[in-house]
Amino acid sequence: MTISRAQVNAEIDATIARALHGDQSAYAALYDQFAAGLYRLCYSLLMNEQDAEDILQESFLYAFKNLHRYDSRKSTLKTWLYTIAVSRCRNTYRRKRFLTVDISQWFGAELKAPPAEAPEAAVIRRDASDSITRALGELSPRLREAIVLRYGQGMTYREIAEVMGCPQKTAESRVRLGHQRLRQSLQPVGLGLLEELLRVH
Amino acid sequence: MLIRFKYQYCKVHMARFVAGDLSVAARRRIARYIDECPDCYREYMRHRAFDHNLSCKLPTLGRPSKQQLDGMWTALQGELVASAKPINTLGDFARSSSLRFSYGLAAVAICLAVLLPIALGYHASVASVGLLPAPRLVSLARTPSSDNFNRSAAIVATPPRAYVSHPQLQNTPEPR
Repeated sequence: MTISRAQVNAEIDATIARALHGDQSAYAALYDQFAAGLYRLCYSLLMNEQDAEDILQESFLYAFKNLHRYDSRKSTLKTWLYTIAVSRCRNTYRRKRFLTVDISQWFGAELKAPPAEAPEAAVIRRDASDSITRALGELSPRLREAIVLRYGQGMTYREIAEVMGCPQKTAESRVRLGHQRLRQSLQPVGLGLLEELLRVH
Repeated sequence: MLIRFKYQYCKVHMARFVAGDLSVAARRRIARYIDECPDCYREYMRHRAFDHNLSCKLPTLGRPSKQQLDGMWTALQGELVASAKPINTLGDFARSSSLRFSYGLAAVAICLAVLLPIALGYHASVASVGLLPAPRLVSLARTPSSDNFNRSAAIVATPPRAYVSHPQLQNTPEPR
């Protein structure tokens, strides 16, 4: 027996109503329903467990405190939560980009790389299953968001556009461009290896 | 040459073809190329496999464990309780009242800075206009033959410089 989307949304609305009336178990139910997906989203975008945990907590904290502002006629709770999380992830990229600025660029000097193996090479060597993670990390944040929402979360283009705050056509072209870049990036690894990886998992 | 063109066309548009994002005419053309050209067919199969791989692989990326989720829920509950706590402790009250006091002090300082010059009658616009020159004390030359010299200084009013020096007012009569 399959449950229709409308039925699921009605259940979520009932849970939200219970939460707004002060039922603590309703908050726990909402967390159980969305936490795993939201964590995967944050992890795929930030590639860091600690950051993903922090963003997840911040997003739920904000959502629970502002639950009375959520309007089910405008968007689903999943889209609303994902929008909050993606916006926080964007703040984190910006902060990280600012912190990891290359000082040698300021002084016009080129610092020599350490004699040890380059981090990228070490990552590739460590485990072949990291190839997708590495390729995702090489994508620009916007393309990564589009790819993760499309393939990682199985969202429709309309939902992706809503979460990313852009027109649907833009979301489509970002997914397409991200797909092309990923293919180019994974070409040296080989598609056969990907097949192998999937068999392992 | 034609096969090469077909392959290039397929390569460029394959992503959109697989995503169902092409016009009907373009879709039909690529479908025909896939049927006719072995390279195009291989490209199509590679693309589909990659699409499938991404759809299978990405959902497994960063999947959290049950313990991890439970730990985050505990931390979240702690934060929710902390944020729901009302300001009733002495420290919070002192912090909030000191904050209010400093904002109040800043507001008073701004008001004083704006109102004080006005209250003291200082107007920058008035100060910039040239004032009329004061009458000049002129002493006339005294000679022995001038008996009728009244031995007193005569006050001669000099024309106001601001009026005279202004080019548009040079031909106007002097004010009395």
